[in-house]
Amino acid sequence: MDEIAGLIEPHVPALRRYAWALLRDEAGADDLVQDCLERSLSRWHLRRDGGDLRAWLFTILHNLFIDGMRRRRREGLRVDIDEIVDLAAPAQEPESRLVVRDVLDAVESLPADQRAVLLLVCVEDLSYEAAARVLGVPIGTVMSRLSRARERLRRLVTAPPPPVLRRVK
Amino acid sequence: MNRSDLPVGEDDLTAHVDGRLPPERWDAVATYLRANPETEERLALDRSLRDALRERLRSKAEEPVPARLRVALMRADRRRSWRQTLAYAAAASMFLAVGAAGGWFARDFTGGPRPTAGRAWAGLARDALSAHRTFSVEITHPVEVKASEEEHLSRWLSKRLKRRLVIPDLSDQFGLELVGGRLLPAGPDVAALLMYADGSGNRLTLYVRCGETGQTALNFMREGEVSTFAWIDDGVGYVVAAAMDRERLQKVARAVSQEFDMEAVRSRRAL
Repeated sequence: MDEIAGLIEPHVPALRRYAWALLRDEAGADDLVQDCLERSLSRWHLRRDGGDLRAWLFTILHNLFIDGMRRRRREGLRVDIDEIVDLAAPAQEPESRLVVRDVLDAVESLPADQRAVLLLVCVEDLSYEAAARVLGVPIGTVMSRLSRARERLRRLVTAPPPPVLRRVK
Repeated sequence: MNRSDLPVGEDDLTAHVDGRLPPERWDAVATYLRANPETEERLALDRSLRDALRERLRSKAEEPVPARLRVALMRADRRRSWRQTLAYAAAASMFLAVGAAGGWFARDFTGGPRPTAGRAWAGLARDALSAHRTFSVEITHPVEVKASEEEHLSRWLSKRLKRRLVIPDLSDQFGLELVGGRLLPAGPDVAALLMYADGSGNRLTLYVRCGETGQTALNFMREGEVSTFAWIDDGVGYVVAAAMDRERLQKVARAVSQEFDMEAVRSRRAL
């Protein structure tokens, strides 16, 4: 196997996980990862030797994600009603996984910058410094986004269920 | 004051949840949590949420990787298309050789053929340097189209370069505001020159021209007080030039190359 592929491939599962957790869309996430890998190959010669490859790959992925979000915002959201319903109600929901499912849904409802920090630190195990580099923000910002994200998560999972909407005439 | 004497902060608590608390803070945090059981409880909830999240996403990382994300296959594809490019380049250079033998008319106004691949960036950097020297000292007419007409500038230059040219935004990261841009002759092709200036009036130019071959890393060249970084990517040559220290200019060059690369990915996706 060639050397560059050997260096990058071990990171692909984590990149897919991060992309999927950000987008919650199977094909969209793999598109994002594919773009990220293509870009890392075309930029390979610009990579700093001895730099953190994992953080570098996550930086590329994250920039592409932000770029995609900006573009979608510019083009206006084009989401089907069906898709929204799909996202809110995953097909598989056995009782035992109820809490777990709530966590992911709760994470999804966080603002994108908080979601990214939480996933990079808690799931991808990046150090605060590496996460700061990936997101292009100071470490202090990483810390404060993280504690805001957690505060919000706590509130979401401990909050009583929303009241049933009633029609008022 | 010693770090272990600092009052416990929100950042300590966050680091505690993540298992990233530096050892010299352990005692302070432990003492604090003993005195504040409700905070301890809160952190326990944070930790269980983190574990639940990791558990939920674990299966995603364990899935087999789809074939289209196999780096080895992507590399093989790239090598194939690279060989194709080389074949085209070889055909093109043969055409040039034949043209030269027959007294190629274009020579008269190109001022000689471009340097060939390998040192291609050096010729590119020299042309960009002359453009920089000519226009960066200009007070009354530094640019043809001013930054206030940025959209028009981008459309015009894209049309003449026959390639979409995004104008990189260097204001947030480097404090460089766009002054404007102009079109320049470049042998059989045209080049675009964008100019930026910082708060104290120092100018940086970005030179872009098509018709290059190959791909290079960032190459540094210095002439007098002006530094340049030149690189070639996907048939386009780029040069940033400014009287600026090497390290800072390299940061600008990296940011610009990333911006253009992003654009290339975007246009490929749009196909």
